[in-house]
Amino acid sequence: MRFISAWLAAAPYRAVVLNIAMLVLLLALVDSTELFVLVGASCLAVAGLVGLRGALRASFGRRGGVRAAFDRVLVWLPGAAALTLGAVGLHLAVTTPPGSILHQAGIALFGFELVMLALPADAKSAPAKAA
Amino acid sequence: MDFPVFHLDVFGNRGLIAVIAVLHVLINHGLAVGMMPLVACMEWYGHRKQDPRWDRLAYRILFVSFLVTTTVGALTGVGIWLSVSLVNPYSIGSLIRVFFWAWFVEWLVFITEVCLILAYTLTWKSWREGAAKRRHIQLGFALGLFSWITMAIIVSILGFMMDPGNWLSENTLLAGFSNPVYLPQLAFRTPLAAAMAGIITLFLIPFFVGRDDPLRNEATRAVGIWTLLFAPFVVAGGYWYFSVVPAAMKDNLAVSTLTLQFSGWLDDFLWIVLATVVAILVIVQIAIKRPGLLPRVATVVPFVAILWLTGHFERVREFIRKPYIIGQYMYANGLRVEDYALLQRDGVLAYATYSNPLTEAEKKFVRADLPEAERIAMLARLQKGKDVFMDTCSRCHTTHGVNGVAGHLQRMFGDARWTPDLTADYVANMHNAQPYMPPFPGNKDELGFLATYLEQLQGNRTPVPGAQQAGIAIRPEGESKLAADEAPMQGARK
Repeated sequence: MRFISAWLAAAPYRAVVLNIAMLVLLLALVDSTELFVLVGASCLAVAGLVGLRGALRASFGRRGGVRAAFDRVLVWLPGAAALTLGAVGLHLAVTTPPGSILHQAGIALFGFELVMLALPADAKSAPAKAA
Repeated sequence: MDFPVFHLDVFGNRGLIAVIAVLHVLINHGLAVGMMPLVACMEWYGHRKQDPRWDRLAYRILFVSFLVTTTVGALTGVGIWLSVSLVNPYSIGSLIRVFFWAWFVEWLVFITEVCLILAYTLTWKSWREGAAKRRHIQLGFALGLFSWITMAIIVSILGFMMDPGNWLSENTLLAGFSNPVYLPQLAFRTPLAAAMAGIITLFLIPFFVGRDDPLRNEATRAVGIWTLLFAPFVVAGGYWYFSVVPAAMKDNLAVSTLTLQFSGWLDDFLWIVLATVVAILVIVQIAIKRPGLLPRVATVVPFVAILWLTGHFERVREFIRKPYIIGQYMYANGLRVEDYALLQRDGVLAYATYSNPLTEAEKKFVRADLPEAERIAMLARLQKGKDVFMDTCSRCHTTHGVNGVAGHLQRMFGDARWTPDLTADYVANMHNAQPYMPPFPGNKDELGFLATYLEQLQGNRTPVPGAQQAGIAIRPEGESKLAADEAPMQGARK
């Protein structure tokens, strides 16, 4: 247990990934389309709103926010892409026959995009804000 | 049928063009059209941030692109001209007649592009500061623009080959250039080239920036953004492109995507394509969000995937327009649609200048114990059959090699004897069962000759040499044709 705790604590993103993986696995095992739609869409909405708030702050915050076009794209595009692909994954997961390749691919895509939405960007490699 | 028949009987003529052309497209799209604006953007970004590390990285990537485009890229560009002129001089002749001025402009643009890439690469280290650096960055963007214009012109010709549109009735350059497939295809290829350049750069960054250098993550993230930015446009452009592909061509999708043998696997194949696209997107997203977590080997996946997808797309585009090589105007065998009535009445051999002499292996099909007169007649029949095969089938088919007719006959008729009656019936009607096959262009006699030639293939697996190996003979009809062609010239000389 200590080993697992230490492993999770060593890199905060591991806990996020693990939580989302467990959630998606649970939804897949329950095998209820309605529940998957409800929980999946809620997760996407919450993660999307949190991301939107972060992007708005980064773009138009009190400190002026990012001004360069590239930095703005960097703020907005990853979240938008993850939200779109997550919605595609959710759509596949709830509309295709259970057990089919598409169904499994949809679940995997949904889970991955949720991770992408929930994870904060790696601060070490973020570009410098426009001066 | 005015040219000796160049033929590769093992690899296939199509294979020759495919290898050269696909390699050229990968280099053109990935390292020129998409890469030059990306390198210019990297240089600009480094200049804006006053960060020389970006400048060094951009230069190294440019240098790789410069080396590849000016060697393999240039050679394959010339190689396309050489190979298509050898394999199907009739189609390239028609295209030159229609697009002469477009190609002339493209040549000028290409020369400008070559001058620009030389100038851009060679002045990188001398135009370093202030106004000179800004000029240099502008040079990079100008290079990107000219690279794109060359593609924009050639794409029109590729679209024309799929669907000439109003050109069929108007016969003008403008009508041909503005064919229905042109803009959708350009809208697909432009972002595809940009995304491809991004993926190639993601692959190259770890070679040029050390693991401990923070620039590695920063550059990976920036190039990931570039790639992801163009991804939706690739999808939208692809959808638009597919929507304008003529319906008859879409019927060929299964065979063109795979082969006749594996056409039943189309659905599975499309899932593999979809999974490949998703894999690319996933890796690009990780590159943006957590570049530090992306192992170097992971960048190989999108790199290989995009090369494979683009290469396969080109293969499909080439095949899907069958039975035509120029939509509704010229069949894949190089014969014009409007000439068919004449050829089916008089026979193709009446208009064939050259003959392809029988090889010793082919002559063995005629029994040696036959009376001399009968033997000579049979050899003459076989010779005509071979000429019909070379003039009407060999542009796409080999005998026993890639896409060999013997393989197709074996699949259909098995070990039963391929009698002339059996194969002639099939050849006469094959275009009804397989819409990607052109109708047989010759007359009934020639159908019989061809069937005789196909019969001997059952027992003769020796490759058939093309004119480049076996030489040529001029047919009696060809001699009079050459004389008729020569007469006005002699008159003019006098």
